Amino acid sequence: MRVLGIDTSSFTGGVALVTDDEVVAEHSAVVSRANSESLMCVCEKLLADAGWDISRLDGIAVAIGPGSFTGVRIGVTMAKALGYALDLPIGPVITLDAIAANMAFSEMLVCPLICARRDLVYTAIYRVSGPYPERLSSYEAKGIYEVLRGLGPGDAGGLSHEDNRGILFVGDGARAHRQVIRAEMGTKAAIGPPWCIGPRPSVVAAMGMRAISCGGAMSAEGLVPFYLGRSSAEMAKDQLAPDGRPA
Amino acid sequence: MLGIETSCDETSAAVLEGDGSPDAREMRVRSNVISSQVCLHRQFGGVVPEVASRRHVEAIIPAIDRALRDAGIGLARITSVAATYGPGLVGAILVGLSAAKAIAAARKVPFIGINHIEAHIYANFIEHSDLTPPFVCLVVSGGHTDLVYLPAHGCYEVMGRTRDDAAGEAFDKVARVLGLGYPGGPAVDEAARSGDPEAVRFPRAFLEDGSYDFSFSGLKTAVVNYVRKAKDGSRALSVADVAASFQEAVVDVLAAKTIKAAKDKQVHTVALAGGVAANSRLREELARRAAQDGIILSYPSPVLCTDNAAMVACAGYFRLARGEKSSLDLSAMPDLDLDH
Ligand SMILES: [Zn+2]
Repeated sequence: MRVLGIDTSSFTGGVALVTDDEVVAEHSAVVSRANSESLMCVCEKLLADAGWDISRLDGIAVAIGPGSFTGVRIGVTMAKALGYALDLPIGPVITLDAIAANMAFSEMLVCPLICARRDLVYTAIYRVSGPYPERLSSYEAKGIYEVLRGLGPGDAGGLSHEDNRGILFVGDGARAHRQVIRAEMGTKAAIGPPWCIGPRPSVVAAMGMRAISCGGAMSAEGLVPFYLGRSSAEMAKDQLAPDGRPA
Repeated sequence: MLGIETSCDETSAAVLEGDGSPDAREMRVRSNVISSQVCLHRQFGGVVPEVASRRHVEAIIPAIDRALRDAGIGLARITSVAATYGPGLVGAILVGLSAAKAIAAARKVPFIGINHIEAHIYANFIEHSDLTPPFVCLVVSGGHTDLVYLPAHGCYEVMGRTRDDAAGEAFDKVARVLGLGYPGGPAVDEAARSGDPEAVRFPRAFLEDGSYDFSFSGLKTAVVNYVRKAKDGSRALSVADVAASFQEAVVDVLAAKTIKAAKDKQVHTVALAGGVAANSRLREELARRAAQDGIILSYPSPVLCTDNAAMVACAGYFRLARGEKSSLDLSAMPDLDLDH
């Protein structure tokens, strides 16, 4: 199965071409709106490098968030349009899952933290004893202290006894809040290395391929971003200037 | 050609057919799907960028799919893709732009980025195949009030612009003050039908003589104060009269400056573009004044005045016919100027 993976949801992102057992090509860079907009050029270059014709793809994988609202929309819209134009299934991947998957076969529990607006972080807790992450909690948008309190030993978070080996934090939130994490959890916490902090397009592609083959594919029309956090109506109230003009 | 427009609160896709010749004699709009978000933003009284962008993502593929079905063709028959890349709301533009680039890459056809204001002007060419530059065009919408001279296809000299509110904004604000609802343009137009345009003499800002610029904030304030004084003094307030008198003040200035610009540039054709170009009084008054000076007036039918993808496809058609093309890393430019 040949899949094109797309991720513009986080602070790093890009595209990758994967088959069932190989990462054929990958381009990843620190994301700015400029390079999210040139992703289609990067795609064409990767396809050319790999000698793949775009029409011979079997599926599209895309990170659908949570993350930067604009970034998520660029990637999701691109995936929808490609899926529509090439009549291909689309494998949606939650960005938190993709980041957690960087730490395959981890003995420690893995906690990705993605910086969100208003100093919140998007997060969930995972066990990644095998190649793919197993999520142990719901997806949340919370303040960092609230997150750390929820991970303390023997709390209501339902974390089993094996958790005394500590928690491995990844994602841009781990880097942004590493002092707080160390201060609150000391040796119970570890921060993932820089090359595992951000989601990788090849991981997104592989997880999207898995979603497609397990019947989790979405249609081009059906796919929507996973915004998590406040609904657009709540957002609207802050974005509207008092006299009703868009802020 | 497939046209895509998402720069504000309309998700639109259109299919346009032409023979590819530069003068586009046989250009036909095969479909023009517009899924509006007006009711979505009505509760907020204005377009909320984040709400608009989220809705565009949901609506873009159904709009494209329906445009193709309405045109009775499959995507395989599309030979090029055009999309707005500015000006407008950046989050909204990015949805249509990303979709257009992906489809162009998937179908291996040329992609062309279009300036939203240029598209408004080119809406005129869809129904008037005899229209040819040079001419002067008044672009009036919620976001723009520009007086533009077109010496030739694709060449723009912005002769005048608004120094504060766009005409469309003034309509929206007055409609809100009069309780006429959102969007303001059609509501004021409707209310004014039964009103006396001479009931109240609102200020006409002609600015310094020879200037082609516009200013509507003074007029807007005058109307707001008039309504408040009427309410405070519990004097009878005829909404229809105020609407008609306000509209007359706007139309007076727009028409006078447009005709003056046409005479100064010695062109015998004037065109209208943008949402406010659908205003019945403006079309009527401008036609009357143009006829007095032997000037031909062209304006698109109402559905092509407000935001739509057919106008984008039309502008794209002319650019492609001149051999122009955009690269797939074209960036959205929310403040894109016309003579960019
Ligand atoms: Zn417009």
